[in-house]
Amino acid sequence: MIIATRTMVHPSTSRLRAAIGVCTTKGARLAGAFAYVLLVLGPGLALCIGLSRIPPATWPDLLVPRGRRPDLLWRSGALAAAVALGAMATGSLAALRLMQWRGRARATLRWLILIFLPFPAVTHAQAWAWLAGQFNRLLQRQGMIGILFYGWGVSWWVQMLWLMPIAIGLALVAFESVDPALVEAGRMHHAGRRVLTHVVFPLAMPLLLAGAGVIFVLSLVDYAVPSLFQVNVYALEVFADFSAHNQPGRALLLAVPLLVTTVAVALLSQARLRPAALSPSWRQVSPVGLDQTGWLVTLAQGALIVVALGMAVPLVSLALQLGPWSHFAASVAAAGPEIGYTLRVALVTALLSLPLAYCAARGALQQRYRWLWWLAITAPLAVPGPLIGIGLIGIWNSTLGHDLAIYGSPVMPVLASLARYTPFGALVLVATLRRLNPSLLEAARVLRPGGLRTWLWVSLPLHAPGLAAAYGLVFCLTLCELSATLLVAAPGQGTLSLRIYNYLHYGASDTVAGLTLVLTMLVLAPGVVAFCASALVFRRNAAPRLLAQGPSHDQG
Amino acid sequence: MRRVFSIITILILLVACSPHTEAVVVYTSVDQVFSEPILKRFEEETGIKVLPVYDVEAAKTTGLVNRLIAEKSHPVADVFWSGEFAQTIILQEEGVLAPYVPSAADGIPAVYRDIDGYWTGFAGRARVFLVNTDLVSEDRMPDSLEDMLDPSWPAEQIGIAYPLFGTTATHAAALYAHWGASEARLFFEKLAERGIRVVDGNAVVRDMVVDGRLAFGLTDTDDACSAVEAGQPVRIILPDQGDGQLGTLIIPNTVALIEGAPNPAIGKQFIDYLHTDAVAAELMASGWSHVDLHSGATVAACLEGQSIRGMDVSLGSVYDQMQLSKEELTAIFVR
Repeated sequence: MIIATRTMVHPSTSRLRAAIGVCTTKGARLAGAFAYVLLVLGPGLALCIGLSRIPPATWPDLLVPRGRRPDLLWRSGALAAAVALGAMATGSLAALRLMQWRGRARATLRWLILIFLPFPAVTHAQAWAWLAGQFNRLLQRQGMIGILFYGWGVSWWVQMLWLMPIAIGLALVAFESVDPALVEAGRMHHAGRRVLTHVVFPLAMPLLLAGAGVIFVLSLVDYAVPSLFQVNVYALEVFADFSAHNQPGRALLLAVPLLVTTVAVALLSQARLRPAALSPSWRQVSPVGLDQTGWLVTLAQGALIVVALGMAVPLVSLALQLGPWSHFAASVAAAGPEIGYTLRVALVTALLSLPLAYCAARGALQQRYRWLWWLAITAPLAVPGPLIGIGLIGIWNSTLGHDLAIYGSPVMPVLASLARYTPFGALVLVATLRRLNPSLLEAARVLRPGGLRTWLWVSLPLHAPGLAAAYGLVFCLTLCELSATLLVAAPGQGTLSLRIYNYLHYGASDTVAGLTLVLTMLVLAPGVVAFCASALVFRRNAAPRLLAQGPSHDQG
Repeated sequence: MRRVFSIITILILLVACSPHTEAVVVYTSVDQVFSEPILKRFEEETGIKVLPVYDVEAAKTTGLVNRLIAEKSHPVADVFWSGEFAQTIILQEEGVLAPYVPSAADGIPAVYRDIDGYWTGFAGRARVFLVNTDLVSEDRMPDSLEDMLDPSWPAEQIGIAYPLFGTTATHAAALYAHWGASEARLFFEKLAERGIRVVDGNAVVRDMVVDGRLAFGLTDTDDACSAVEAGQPVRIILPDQGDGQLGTLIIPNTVALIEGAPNPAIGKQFIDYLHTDAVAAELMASGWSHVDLHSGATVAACLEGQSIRGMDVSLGSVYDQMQLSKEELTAIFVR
């Protein structure tokens, strides 16, 4: 039965591509591709102009890792892989445990984990270092030797906990989108654990792997956490060279091995997977969960404890540093303009990223030029933030771009975050588009070809989980964006992230704690908007549910 | 599609709406908490709006300097106010700066001014040891950079920031200039071999000393003094102040006018303002500056009025060693 189920849910790839492709016209596809190239790939392409300043004789030395650099690259890749594996494994298990929370209110509560997403990496690092310091003082009072809290293991632990909300968020989307009918069918013949390993996990795998890919890349290009714990990674080498030579072209060439690694991982994680078309019955209560007994339950409970610990330590650390209420209120009031501006930038960026990401994701699933689209999605992920900023200056502050008066305006941070984070949204959408049941879109096309109502009532609800996940991810990442924004922010208009990092250096821990907590509150904004929007749309429209409850399995 | 473009246009306008008034654009690498009050005071006294862009330490000196270089063809900034001098000289070499000598610069020693007037120094800081007094007794206080090589100190209790970025990189280049490349390289190789803690920035050194994770570390006076003023169990030591010792590096703030600045006249007015006695006093009172460049005296309470002897190196010679020292130290410390 399980084998039969797995066979049933794999439609022909071409049929899925065709179903997805009906959503837009050729003109819209071309416009989308042009916008993606300009806004996402443009900064990287603009940097290539700077390559002319680099003597050709030095190119091989920069492009091919030599000396100590192969070792650095290997260790950086290993750390990123370990972080991605640890975060997705723990996050998936914790998500399964959270899926046991039934009922509308408790099901909503499980998404609260996402408010920890904008905690800066350095907040996690400092919180754990603080805890280790307290522990060491305790040991020293007992006449014992303290633990050494640095090195690869510590860096792995902190990076994993920092990126855990992404892992859990994407795992929740993956599990909630599994067709309940398939799970129930599996349960009729086998115990829950077997259904989990043979039905649920394979069907959720594209999105789980996309999550692992996203975490791998974020870990690979991060040097802040490793350098705090005395771990040298390849990304630090790129920054050290950029700092020494001030030549973006050199840094870009040095970053090519990171780029190759990123592209390879993204392709491995997604490109070889067959589509698994499903009905995303995300408005129904998902039956995915754990049996009451067994080793998997123990593992899931352990994972949940790790997650709780990972959230509690920085939260407690921030709360202890918060200081008196009056000081907190004053620091928030002083940062008022930055808070409003940051929220606007994140909301607009996340919204604008959706059509771009959708266009790229659809391109990656089409027959023609799909490899080109895969490259277009994955290559920008490995370009360091400052280089994106330099590239944006190259485009919008050039002789041609200068007349448009966009450079120096408050729009630039939106463009910076679009360039950096749209590919992350595209990766999530690729994974979710794979899972759409083409029957539903085909049926809608037959009943009412084209038209806004079809798009609004059939396509949009079917795409909604993926779009919401992509929106949330881009929104949260934009809230924390620092390195590219620093280079393009309009004079006099900083973001909250810039203010936090500026105060972090000064050591104003109470101000930093207060503003970081404000940042977490901002994450709730799109959640509230999404909840209200979905309530508004679905209260007026039962059609998608009726369609989804129809013959949801592809019989071909 | 028209509908989509309309929505996008509205969204862009939503973000873009901002008033335009007469203003001076100041890029500064000085911490916002120190520079913002100065900028506000200038606004109050002149009625000219200041539009600042602040740097952050996390950008590892790849921030504003690279932005200014990238903007060279169409400058946005009028003035660059740096917390140190090496980045300013890089901008001078890249042709980003325009010469301007403020009238108040006469009293500043020539060593802290560019000979062609491209930048002027003011308000000094110094490199110091921050020592945890719970862990280090009075009779064991380190007083020289050489103490970091003393095997009687456990290596994991001594810390410096990566000597590839910020003022630690500048200090390393100063040692290259003073000792010569081979002796300086040997010094850093020994530090790396010992396994001293090389951490993410001067602020992290301060935090680790305060927490007791380090016995002592090398940092800047602004970081060190903030810990002293917060009442932490720490003490500041000016290294190498004895006879025949090399002294410590004094790092002046620098300010420069941008070539092709949109508002050069206001930019010059702002530069003049930074050189007033009132600003010097305010920077010292706020804890950003601790050394009077005119006399070399320390004036901050956290240093208890100690006099300071600076290293005998020219700022230009320090800059000349920057690229070599960064390349060699990257090979030593990033592996």
